[in-house]
Amino acid sequence: MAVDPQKQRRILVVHGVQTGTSEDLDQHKLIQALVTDRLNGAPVDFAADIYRYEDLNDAATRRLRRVLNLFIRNIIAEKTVDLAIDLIGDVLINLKAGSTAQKIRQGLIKRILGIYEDGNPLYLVAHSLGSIYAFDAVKELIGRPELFDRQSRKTWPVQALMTLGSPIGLPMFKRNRVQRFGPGRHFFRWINYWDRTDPIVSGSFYGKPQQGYDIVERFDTEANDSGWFIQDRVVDVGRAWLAAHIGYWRHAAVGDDLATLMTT
Amino acid sequence: MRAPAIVVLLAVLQGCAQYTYFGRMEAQDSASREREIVVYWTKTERMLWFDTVSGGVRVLTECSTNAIDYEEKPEGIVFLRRPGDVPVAREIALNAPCGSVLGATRVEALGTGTLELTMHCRPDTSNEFAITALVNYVQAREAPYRFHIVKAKSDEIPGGAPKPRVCRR
Repeated sequence: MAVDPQKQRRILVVHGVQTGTSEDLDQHKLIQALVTDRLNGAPVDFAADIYRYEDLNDAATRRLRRVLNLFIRNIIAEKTVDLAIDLIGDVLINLKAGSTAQKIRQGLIKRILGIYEDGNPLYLVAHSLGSIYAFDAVKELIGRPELFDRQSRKTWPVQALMTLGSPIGLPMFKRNRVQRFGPGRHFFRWINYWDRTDPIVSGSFYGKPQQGYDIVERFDTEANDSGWFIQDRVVDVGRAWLAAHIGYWRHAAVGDDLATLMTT
Repeated sequence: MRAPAIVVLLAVLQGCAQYTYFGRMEAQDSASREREIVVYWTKTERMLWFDTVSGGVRVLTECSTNAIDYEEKPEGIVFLRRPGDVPVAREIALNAPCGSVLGATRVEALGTGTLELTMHCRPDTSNEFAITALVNYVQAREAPYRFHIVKAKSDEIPGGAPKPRVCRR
């Protein structure tokens, strides 16, 4: 098994906290359109797809919904509770790191390895909570001895990671260290995009701007030969608060940098 | 009473006004071909929500997909060397500045008029994953590049950000 640099580039989107069902998710179409626009006619063969896991989250919270709905007398309250469970439940499932979170992560790894078997260079784009699953999946894959030889990118099931509006810097997620590659000449590239007023990034309910310049650049790389090249990228998506959190999908710089990652 | 409150809330959520600052010039790329080079950045001015927010200064090159980001960092507005960049005529460590915007340390302080920036790296074309015909960017040189910057509302620019003209080959 090896990645063939001549084959079509693939972008796999990992969504974040969501309402609705898996079928409602189509952020990969936004990414496909964004990158196509920013390529401005440059001949790059690529296709974007999405890893959906919302149905796993919904199944995990179904019993709780049923119990709570027994006590609810009107449709507005029912919808409100449904929405709250949908959003908060997704986060709690990840924090608890139980069987559902594991299923989601393993499902993502299976999807990544399927693309690897086909030999396509793969680029992960993960939004919000999805960035936690994507980061963990990459870490786990780097830990496998047959993958991620730093001397040959052809052994890399993921060529680069892009995270958008990630909460990964918040202490509650307890992520602060990358999986070390060891010595070699290639670097695994990770670009972390954040808007200063995105409350999911800062943890500030009021959208108080995140100060400073680094979040994931502070991660412990253990040694100079960690093999990761990490960049925090502060962007201005032109919106504020929760609107900023969902504004990355149409942000030109995201499309420009994906084009760069796929062609360098 | 409810309608004005909703309007204010929407204004807060959407941001008041985003402006794109950009400039274009003809210059040689790292393969010594005459290309159009575009520089741009955005600023969002908010009516009610904290202060102005800005991203990095980006440089795009005709016939290239290799976007260069001059990011605001404690040391200034700098293009930090990535694994795919090779220093020219000087030693530059990975993640050390390959170039910088002159005359300002905050993107917020940049405006219309003249913008000067430097470039001291070239792309690595030996990487087997690189599409070599698309990785060139503005050529490394000692003298700074000088752009004339104008300003427009971002929603007046297709896609919210300028692009170099379509590749002439």
